Amino acid sequence: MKKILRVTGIDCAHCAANLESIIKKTAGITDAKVNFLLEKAIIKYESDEALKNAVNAGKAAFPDCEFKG
Amino acid sequence: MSYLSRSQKFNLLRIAVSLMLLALYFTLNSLYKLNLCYTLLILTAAYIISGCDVLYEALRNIFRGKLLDENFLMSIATVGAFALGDYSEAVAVMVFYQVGELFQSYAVGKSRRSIAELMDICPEYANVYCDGVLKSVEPNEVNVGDIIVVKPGEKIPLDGIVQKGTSRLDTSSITGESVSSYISEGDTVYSGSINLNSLLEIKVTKTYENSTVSKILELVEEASFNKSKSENFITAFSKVYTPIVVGFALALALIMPIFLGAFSLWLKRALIFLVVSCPCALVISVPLSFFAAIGCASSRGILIKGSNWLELLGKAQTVVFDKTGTLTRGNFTITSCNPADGVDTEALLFAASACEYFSDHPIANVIKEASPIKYPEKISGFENFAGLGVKAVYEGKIFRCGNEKYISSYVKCGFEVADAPSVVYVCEDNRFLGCIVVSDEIKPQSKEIFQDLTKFGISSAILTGDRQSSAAYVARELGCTDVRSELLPEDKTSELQKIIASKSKGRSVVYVGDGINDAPVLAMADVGIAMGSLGSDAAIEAADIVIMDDDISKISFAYSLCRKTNKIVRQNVAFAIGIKLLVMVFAAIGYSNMWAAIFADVGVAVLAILNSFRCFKN
Repeated sequence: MKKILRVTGIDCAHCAANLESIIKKTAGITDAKVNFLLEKAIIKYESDEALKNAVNAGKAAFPDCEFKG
Repeated sequence: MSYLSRSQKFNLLRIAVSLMLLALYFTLNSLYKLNLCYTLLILTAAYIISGCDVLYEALRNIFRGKLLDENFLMSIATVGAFALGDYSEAVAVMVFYQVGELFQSYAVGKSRRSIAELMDICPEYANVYCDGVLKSVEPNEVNVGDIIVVKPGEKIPLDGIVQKGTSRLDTSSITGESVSSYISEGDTVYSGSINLNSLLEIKVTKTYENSTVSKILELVEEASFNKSKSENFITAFSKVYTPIVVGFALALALIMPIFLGAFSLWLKRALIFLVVSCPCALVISVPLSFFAAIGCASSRGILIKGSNWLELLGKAQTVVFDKTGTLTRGNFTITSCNPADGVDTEALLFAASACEYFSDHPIANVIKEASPIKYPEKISGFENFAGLGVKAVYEGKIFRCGNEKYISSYVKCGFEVADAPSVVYVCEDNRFLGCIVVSDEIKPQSKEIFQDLTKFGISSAILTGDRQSSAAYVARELGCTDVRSELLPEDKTSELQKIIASKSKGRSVVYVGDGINDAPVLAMADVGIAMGSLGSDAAIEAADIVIMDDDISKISFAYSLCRKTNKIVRQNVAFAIGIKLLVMVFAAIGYSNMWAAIFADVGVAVLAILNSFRCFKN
């Protein structure tokens, strides 16, 4: 499954790259890309549970960051 | 400046106040030589005003274990400078760091808005009849087969076929071409076009998700996820850059004093390292350049599916063209009629037309169009000789037309037409009537593109399934020396493979086709460009770069844009890394100061971003 989320509250492209690797590391996530300039993330995932975990992991590392479906 | 958000305006105010306090300090200090108490009072106020959020973030990050975060590094650098008594430098680092941050967020916001403007092709609503009343609904609520009404001045919300009405359409937002086209009942129209003249009723053929506008938007959005080599390099570089610089700073501050003493001297040098340890200038300016270039291209009807393709197109060594439909229009026209002595042109065309009456070849069609047969029932005895020509009997006269080999076996051909596209020889019984030269019309822009390629120093080649004579004609007209003809589809891939094998390292081979039957070749080339793709999902799918209309000269524009972007990216990378390294080397041996570090951090970021903005202007 693939989902495009709007991601706001990321300060710089470096943070976006970090967020990307955090999401990728979550179990059940097959691929993820975070684009700082578009403020968008494309996440490929195996289950809704995994997607939720990935979003939570991202929020834990970047408290200002928000995901919108 | 009217685009600053509230928080940006607030930050600007903080920076302004801090700068004024800093200026006040320098003025007072030079006039009265301020004592420590006043110095600390003014500068601490300035420091807190400018840096409170950075300090807060830094503290928060310590508890989260993120020690290499830029807020933390900036806090250490400035607090350290304060501790060493370099009060004004500490404040300056913080203030200018904030200037850089503000500028960055302004730049990012500005480019986001520019892209949004460029991509403003989304229709907001569709008009549908609901129980006899016209209502506006969301485009995604309309089903295939529904009838939508588009008023003059409105955007067509979904792809469909005109049911009622005639009008002119402005397709500039999708093709980048500001020529309007005339449409009437039965024509296919694409979403994103603007209805100019009069009311249209359109039967929807595609849902909103599958409509042209959605396809284009999806493609451009996903484009920025296909990262170029330079972007990947920058991401990888930024991951190691900060830890390495911080490592050097620690070594300078902790190890050097063991051997050489003078702890505070080395600490000061280490702090300079911390100030330049943020890779932001690079991390932001490289994707910004590509982003801007992709946006700029899409406003001209050129869709680039990722910055990797943009980068590769800029490195083109050879551009390979498909002939029919790409360099030529794909429809034949009669270029000349050469009747034999004593024969008039009409008689020649009539004879040929009678012969071709039952044949359906594109060349036959153009001849039939030039001289329509009024009494087809008079034609008899039609015969087709594959690869040679055709024969027909009309009112007892035997007409033959075909290639030179065929006709010369009956009569002596009176003309030698060398290197012509396609020549149809015609005879009546035993009399030579003449020949008709038919060619596929070369697009006017094709010549331009070959001239441009020569100017750019890029070699070109033509691959075609067409016969040698007509391929040679097109090649000669366009000034192309490498033409490979009579290729079956699988031959095209092997020929392209040969061209790719002979390219030099770091360069690329570009293939330009119509995207309809050359998907394997498009995929095999380093960069596959599909032409005239409006309405062709297959072409949009198969190609790396999509040109919405038929204008092949857009390839020159795209190439120049890619070249320029690559150049700007290289400049930014070299400039930013160079300045930072220089400042660090000088800092280590004691020849640079905090002010140089501020320039290497903020100055470089600002200059790199300004440089990348040039990608928008074309």
